[in-house]
Formats: sequence, C-alpha cells, structure tokens
Amino acid sequence: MLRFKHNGPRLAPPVMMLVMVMAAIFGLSACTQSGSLDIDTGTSTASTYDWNIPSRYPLPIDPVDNPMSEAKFELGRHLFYDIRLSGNGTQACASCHIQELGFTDGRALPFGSTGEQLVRNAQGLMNAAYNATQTWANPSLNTLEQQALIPLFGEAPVEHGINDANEAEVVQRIRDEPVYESLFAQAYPDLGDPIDMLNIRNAITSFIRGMVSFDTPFDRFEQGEASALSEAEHRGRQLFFSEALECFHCHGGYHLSDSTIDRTMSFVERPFHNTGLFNIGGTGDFPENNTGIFEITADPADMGKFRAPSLRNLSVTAPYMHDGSMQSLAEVIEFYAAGGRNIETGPQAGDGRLNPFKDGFVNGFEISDQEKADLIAFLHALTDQSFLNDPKFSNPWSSAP
Amino acid sequence: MKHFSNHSLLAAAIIAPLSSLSLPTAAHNNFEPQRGTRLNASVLVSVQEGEHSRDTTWHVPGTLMSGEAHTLESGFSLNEASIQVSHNLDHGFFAQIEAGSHGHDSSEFSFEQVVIGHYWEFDAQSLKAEAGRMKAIFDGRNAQHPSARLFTEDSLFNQVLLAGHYADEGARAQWRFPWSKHHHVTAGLELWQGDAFPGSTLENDLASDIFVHYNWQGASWGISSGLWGFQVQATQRSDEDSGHQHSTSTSDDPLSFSGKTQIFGAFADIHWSHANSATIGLRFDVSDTQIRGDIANTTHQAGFESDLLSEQVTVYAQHYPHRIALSYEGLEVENRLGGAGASTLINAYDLSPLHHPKRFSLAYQRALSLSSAVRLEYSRDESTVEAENIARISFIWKDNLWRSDE
Repeated sequence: MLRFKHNGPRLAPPVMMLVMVMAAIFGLSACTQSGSLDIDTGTSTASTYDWNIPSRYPLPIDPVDNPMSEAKFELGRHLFYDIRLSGNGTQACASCHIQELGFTDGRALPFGSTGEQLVRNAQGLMNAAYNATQTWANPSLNTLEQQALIPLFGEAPVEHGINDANEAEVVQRIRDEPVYESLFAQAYPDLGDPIDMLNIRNAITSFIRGMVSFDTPFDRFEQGEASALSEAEHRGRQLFFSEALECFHCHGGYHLSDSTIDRTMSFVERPFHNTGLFNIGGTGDFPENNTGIFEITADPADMGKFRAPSLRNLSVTAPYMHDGSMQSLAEVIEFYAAGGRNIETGPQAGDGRLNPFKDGFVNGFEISDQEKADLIAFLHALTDQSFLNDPKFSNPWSSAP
Repeated sequence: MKHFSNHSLLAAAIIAPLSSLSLPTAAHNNFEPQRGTRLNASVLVSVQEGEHSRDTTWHVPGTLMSGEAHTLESGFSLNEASIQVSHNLDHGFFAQIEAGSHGHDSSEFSFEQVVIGHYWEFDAQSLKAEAGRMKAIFDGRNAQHPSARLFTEDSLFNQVLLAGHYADEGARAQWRFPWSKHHHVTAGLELWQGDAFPGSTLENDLASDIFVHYNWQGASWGISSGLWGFQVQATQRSDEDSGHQHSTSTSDDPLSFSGKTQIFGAFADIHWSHANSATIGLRFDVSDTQIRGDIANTTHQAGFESDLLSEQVTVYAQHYPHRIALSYEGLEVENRLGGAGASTLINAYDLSPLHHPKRFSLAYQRALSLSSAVRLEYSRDESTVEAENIARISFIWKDNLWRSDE
C-alpha cells in the first residue's frame, strides 16, 4: 500500500494533477485547423409541422413569431369558417373563399359584411404561403400575418367590419363558443388566456399557410409521370412554356407565379406587372379606384401594376383578372394574344395595348383555335381536385354556428 | 548573504507578490476575503494602430457571436476604468462592489459586480458562498481586467463565446481543501440567471458551471490548473439582444438562436521563479464547445450544430520590472446545418467556418512604479479572412486608494 509522507516535499500529487490536466488538454486539442461545414438541406429540423409536400418542392417559410402547429391549423380552420368573426356576425373568411372554388367566391367582385362591394377579385388561397407579397397589389404586405389584418379590420372597404367599438364583442363571441376553449388551449398551451385577437389572427394565418398542395396532373407530369397529361394538355404545356406566348415569364416555376418565396431563397423578387388592361385617355391610367401598386408607391411608372397570381386551380376560379372582368380562360388568352385590351367607348376608353407602362412580355401572339384549345386544356391540368375536396380544409362546423 | 544594489531592491519591490501589477498566474489567491474595507482603482488607456472593426462589425466566420462582442479599436481608448470596494463584515460576511467602464465604449458605466457572501473556515478547509451580480471564475481568467492580464485584448475564446466575459446575476459556492501548505484544491459551483450571452433573456433558462482548480507552489516551481464545464440554454437569442451591434451582422435581419451551449475546458499554468526576481512560465488553455439548436431570421430557419475547439498557448517571462509574453490562439469550427433554409442562412450570416481563425500576440510591459506600468503590444490578428497587424501602447495604473483593517 502506497502512503504519501505528511511532511517534506510532496511531488507526487502535483505531478499527478498536472499530468491529468495536460492529458485533458492534449486530449481536446490537436492543434486547431480550418473548420468544416456540413449542410443538409433535404430535411427541416426547425419545424415539426408536417407540410405534406412532395420532397421536390421547397417548404414554405415557417415564421418564427407564429410557428406552424397542427393544433393552430385546426383552430384556424374553425375560425376561418366562423361568421361570428365579423363586426355584425354575418361574414366569415369562407364567405369569400370557398373551397370548391379554389377558395375564391365565383363573383367578379366580392361583398363585405356591410354589403359594400370590393374593387378587386377574391383571390384563391392555395399555396398562399409561397406568395412573395399578399393581395393583388401591395409591395409592403410580405406576410400572411400582415395581410390578415386588412380583411378583419379594414375600413375602406369594410370586409369583416371589426373595429375598436366591436372588437371586444367579437372576441367575447369566440369565448362563448365551448368548442374554442379546448382548441385555443391546444393551440397555445403556454398561454393562460389565449383567446384574443392576436392569437385569432395567428391561427387563421396558420390555417391559410397550411393550404398547400402539389397534386395536379401538371405536378405529376413534372415528377416523371408521362401519362399524367393528355396529348392536348401536353401540347398546351409546350405552348405555355414557349417564348412565343411568354406565359411562363410571369407564371412560371412550381408556384406558377414570378412572385414566389420559400425557405431556400436568399434573394426574393416581388414583381408587379401592367398587362395593358386599361389606358384611359391614352396616358396609361387605370380606373381611379384601382390603380395597382401606384396606390402605395405613387410612382407614375407603377400605374396599373398587379402581382401575377398563381395559376393553380384556374379552372374553378373564374372570373379572372384583378377586377374580375374576364369570364373565361378563352377570353383571357385572346386578351394576351391581342397584347392588351382596347376599350373603344365609355369613361374607361383607351387602347391598353399601347399603355406606356405595359409589361414587355405582353406583346401579343398568333394562336390558332387548336392551340387555344390545347392551352386551355393545359390550364385545366393545373387544377388540384384532391385539394378542392380535402376534408382537412373543409368547414368543421356541423351546422352553421 | 547576497547583496543587492538599490536599483535591484527597488525592482524587486515592484514585482513583489503584493504589487498591484504582479503576474496573473495565481488566479485564486484571494479566496479568503480581504480584511477590513478596501478601495481599489485601476485605469488602462491605450493608443492603437490598426483594427478589425473599421466598419463597426467584426465576425469570426462560422460562429454565432453576440452583438456585444468586439475587438479593440484604433486610436485613443479608455480600455479600463474601474473602482472596486470590498468590505469584510464580522462573522464572515463580506460585500464587494465593482463598477467601471471598459472596452469599446468608455461612456458606458456599469456595476460589473455587486456581491455579498459568507466565508467559513473549519479544520483548515474553507467554504465561501456568494450571490449577486458576478463574473464567472470557472476558467481563472474570465474575471480579469485588461490591467491584470498579460494582454489588453480579451482572448479570442472569450470574445467569440462569452462576448468578452461572462457576468450575470447568480450564486456561487466554493470549497477549498488544502493538502498541505504547498498545494490545495478548490471546487466550485456557479448558478446563473442565464440572461448573459450565450444565454438569452426571453425565457428563464438557468445557466450553470462547475470547476475544480488545483494549485501547487513549491520553492521555485508552481502550478495552477483546472478543469471546468459550463452550460446554458438560449431561447430566441438575438445578436441584437445587447441593444447595440458590433459584430455578427452581415444582414439587417437579426439572426436568432434557440438551443443549448455546453463548454468543457481545461487550463494549466506551470511557472518557475528565482528569488522573487525572475519568473518564466507556460500556460495552456483549451476548450471544447458544443452548440445544438436552431437558427432563424424572420424568413428562414435551419437546424444548427456547431463544435468549436479553442486553444491558447502563452509563454511569459518577468525579470525585475520587465515582462514579456507571447501567445498563440486558435479556433477550429465544425458546423452542421440542416433544413431547407440552411444554405441561405450560411451565406447571409457568414456561417461557413472554412477560414481558420487565429491570433499571435506579443506584449512587453515595463513597471514604472508599484502601481503603474507601460505596455507595448503587437498582434497579428487572423480571426477573419482579412488579417490585421495591430500595434498598441498602453499606460496602466492600478492601486489601493484606501484601506482600513478595522
């Protein structure tokens, strides 16, 4: 048995300790050198939400201040279809966004809860999570959370009609519904009293953000299923992506819009286009109450510029254009083939084909009746029937609340 | 009996252990609270040529740094202005307040330490418990001011991983066990509120560290060494949490981190002294940091795993009033990012660690009196891709202004 002396020099303990520490040092350190970087972009560990998106498509942005969850999506679905979420208790989001119509309303222009008619067509909501900007023409609305405040609280025009005077009453209506107690508790488990307008808005935007789908014949064809498109649809596809028709410049990519954002993008473009719908008085003007992003920027060059919407579900989202002024896809194709619209009489008279602010890709083109039919067939192939009938996005209320 | 000249006696007095400007080798010789009331002060001013922060940002590639992290700037700087007041009450209670400004913004005056504690002695062992706002002492150098260090600049490890130094509100318990009059072991545990970098203020995530330090001092040889571990959880820690921005940002959109940081480290300082007139020593510091969590800005998220190996080797020597020190510091960073936003965040926030950050430093210090010195330094700083040659001259004053042993 070894014993250390209790007097005199003690070398063994310090030497042992030094050896231990030095061993630890050299065990950790082998001379630092250039580091390494390993990137795995095939998975997303940042969110546990199951987007149910094919792996070839990038995931939408999951905002840090309103992360996705199944519970929040389900709560948002209930709120989306709840007419109590309006000033006078008559209008839900779903009033103007109907699932079987691709979450549009089938009207040229929708009406708000007070009967006021809006000036722009109700847009479809599928894959709205990929929109670089929201609504038809507002470069400052980059998120669904920003956008949702407009229909809820907007005064010009009134949509849901919630304001300072009735907000507490609207929230109380939600509180009074027993179904919401557990839905809010599951969606916001860390909050003691989560029923307020901020969490209502965040749940609705989570539901809309979750409206993603890529199950069209076009998607299946792009993933290698050659028979997914008919002969006519295939010919229409070739026309759509041709330089002759130029469609794909503004309606290209997986989102079928050049205004697209997803997690993989480091530089996001937020373009807007004047397609030559108007040229009032020959000065490039659009109707005074609907001038595109000119209303935001006041830049004359922005007159009549609108966001190019995604073309998904096009077959069920008529009428078309920002003002709902075109009833059919054939009419839209003829408009672009002419390079704009010439209005010969009336207060909006003017040759849109000559609009000085018109986009350079709207130059007109020659197209035969057969080619037009093929192109329309392809546009119909952009419809996702599974999305239009998916119970996940349907009205959860068994009877109207 | 040896005979010393008057000059030698004065020089020996200047570097005597009680001198305010002695070597920072024995990091914990003040375990027992000083008796009575003491008022100490220190100042370090410098003039520097060359800097890494010309555009107000400095970021070591591949790392998540606090916006508070900074290197010293060119021109005239007040690097340290500090006042320490300590009072030893009866029955083992003591209190300490340290206030001052140092570093990049001399207009910032703050209480760096406000501590109350109790000290016990029994059977030659000692216990000390403290609480308040404190600097951590796990690695023996975190709490040191520039005037007390061999080099004016914080170590690369401290700058990158602790935003200069770790100070937070918390509690500390230490136990000292002397094996003999020559050597002792100190074991300690520190619990922190967790608000300081690399923690965050959003959630009440506690931080903690544990350490074991060993000191041995023979007639000529001495050893100071230690092993330590530190961990903290962060929730949406932003590089703008400090309120202002010196580093990290290559984007206007702040990057946030949520996850755990664990650091394990060791140090060893072996030194040899001769008749109180000369000392030569060698110090190693090494640490292994593991960061696991998620990073995000307002539009992108990614899983983030990072391993940082830090090492510093320092050689120093002192002969009468002259002191010289040479140091090499290096960081090795390995990052693994997962998620569709990974590539975007790597580019936007300079998270590719393919550069090898390192720094060589040389310092010469000449004691002018018991309380003042002048320090000349040169460093080649390769912490970023663009290397910088930095020269600095500093004047140091550090003294006891008032004491009462009552």
